[in-house]
Amino acid sequence: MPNDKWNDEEIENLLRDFPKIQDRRPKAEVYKKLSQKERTPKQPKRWLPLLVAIVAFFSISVLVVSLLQQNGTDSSSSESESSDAESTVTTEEAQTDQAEGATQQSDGAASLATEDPEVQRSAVYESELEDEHILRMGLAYHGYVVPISFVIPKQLADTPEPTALELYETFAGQIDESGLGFDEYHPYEGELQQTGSAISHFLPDGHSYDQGSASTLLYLSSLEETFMDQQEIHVLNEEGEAAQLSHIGTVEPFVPGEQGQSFYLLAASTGDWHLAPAYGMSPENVEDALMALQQSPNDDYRSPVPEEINYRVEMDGANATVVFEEPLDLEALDGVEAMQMIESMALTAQSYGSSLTVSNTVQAEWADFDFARELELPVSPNRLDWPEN
Amino acid sequence: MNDSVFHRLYDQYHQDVFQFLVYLVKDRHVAEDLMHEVYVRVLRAYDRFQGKSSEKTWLFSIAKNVAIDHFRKTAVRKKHSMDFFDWETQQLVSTERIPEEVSLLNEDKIRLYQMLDLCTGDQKLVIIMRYFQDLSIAETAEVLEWSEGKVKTTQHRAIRSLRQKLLEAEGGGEYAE
Repeated sequence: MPNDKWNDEEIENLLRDFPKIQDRRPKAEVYKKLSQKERTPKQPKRWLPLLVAIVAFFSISVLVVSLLQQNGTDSSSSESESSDAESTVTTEEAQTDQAEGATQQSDGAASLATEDPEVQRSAVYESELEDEHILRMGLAYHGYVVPISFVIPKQLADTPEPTALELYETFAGQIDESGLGFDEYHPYEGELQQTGSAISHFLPDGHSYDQGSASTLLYLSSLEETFMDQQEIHVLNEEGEAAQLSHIGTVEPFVPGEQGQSFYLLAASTGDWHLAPAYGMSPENVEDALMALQQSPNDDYRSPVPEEINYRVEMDGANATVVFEEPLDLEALDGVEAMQMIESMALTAQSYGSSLTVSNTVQAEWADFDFARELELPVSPNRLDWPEN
Repeated sequence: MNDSVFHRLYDQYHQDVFQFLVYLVKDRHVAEDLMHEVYVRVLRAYDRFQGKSSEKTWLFSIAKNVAIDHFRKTAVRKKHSMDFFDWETQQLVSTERIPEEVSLLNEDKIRLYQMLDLCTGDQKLVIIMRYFQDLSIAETAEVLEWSEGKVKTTQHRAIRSLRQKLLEAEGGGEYAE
């Protein structure tokens, strides 16, 4: 074949002559898939969100009463607060969100919001744990995974020092995922087995984790987030051999958390925003990851850094320092947004195994963070306290 | 779900967007998955669509994002690491197979299509949009959020790159059969 036939015009003519490709599925099939849930919903267990809502109601009420007393506002405002509290509240972050909304509705209370003692950290910190276990679970929503940390009083566990798997098997089935704004995804199909510090998942024939590339990738990310504290995860078939998944082939054993992740904001169906790792979209090193937080990696994630805030990252060994370009007055920001920004940085640094210092803030201390030293990093994101009884 | 919006979008754009995804990912079943995800995102964001671009380019823009997310995730999982995926410079290569419709074409077209995998991601996107989807320069620029100049330059470089790779293959280089 003579080489001179491959000129630009010939290439363009060939490209223009490629065939039309049609989706052969009927419209009804596409519609049906879209309108049905991905998984058959299990029997919902409504008590957990309900109880959290009740707790939220009381905490909001206390805050509102306190604010009203300080500002002499009339009692009519408290009625609107009650209706706010009727909606299901799922995380401390959401509680703070609503509480702030409440303060803004009270005349003259907005200025108090900046000094709001209720601006709370949303993640789990070692220093705040007492007699509790953490059950971290990779919950699913629209193809993304969001790690939620259930903080469970030790007396509720069957044994004094339960393994990660024992915690999962005891509590995962009790969680009303849809009530929290996620897809019904847990407990996993098939058997889980713990051997030392490794988790093996035996997939049953006909499991639903291989329906498409998206479902496979969601499954693996969820498994990684759920067993983040394990040394290795094995995905096996019923015979105990490495499982074959159609879109990735043989699933080799993998180490959870081996690669760091950037934490961005992701909304659940309730409208609550959670800090979630951007699997597959996170840079190689912590410096780039922290810088990348200033821009969302796709349409679904939201950057946790307000647009007007700029910073640089300086590395010193394994310590990353975020240096704000202008002195950052955290109390001038919306409390929830400020917390999301600082915690996304902290979770990102933690994920990459780095320590974090934050520099050039107006406040030396803010919301349990001491900016004069390395920040206390969270041990797990998105805390949700389990009811005690 | 807003049924009437779905039916209208389906009637007007479904086959075009589906074809775009098949040519990009080369696998009908993966394209079906991704098409589903496109609808999920479109219907979720439909109320916020401000009409700054045309509905058609908005849909293609979301399909492009969905496909790039797919490539990112696949690249990540294949390597069992979480490397940063730079779609502008990396190749968008999904599987070794080609769509059935392409496999029925003559040898030159099949080779040309395979060579697209050796172009950069942005070159492949521009070729598919401009030649397979028949989008105008302006529409392509809107989908990719580029200037029209960048679309023209990328298209020109893509054709040049394809020509060079085809010549290398014809000359008994590494791509020759």
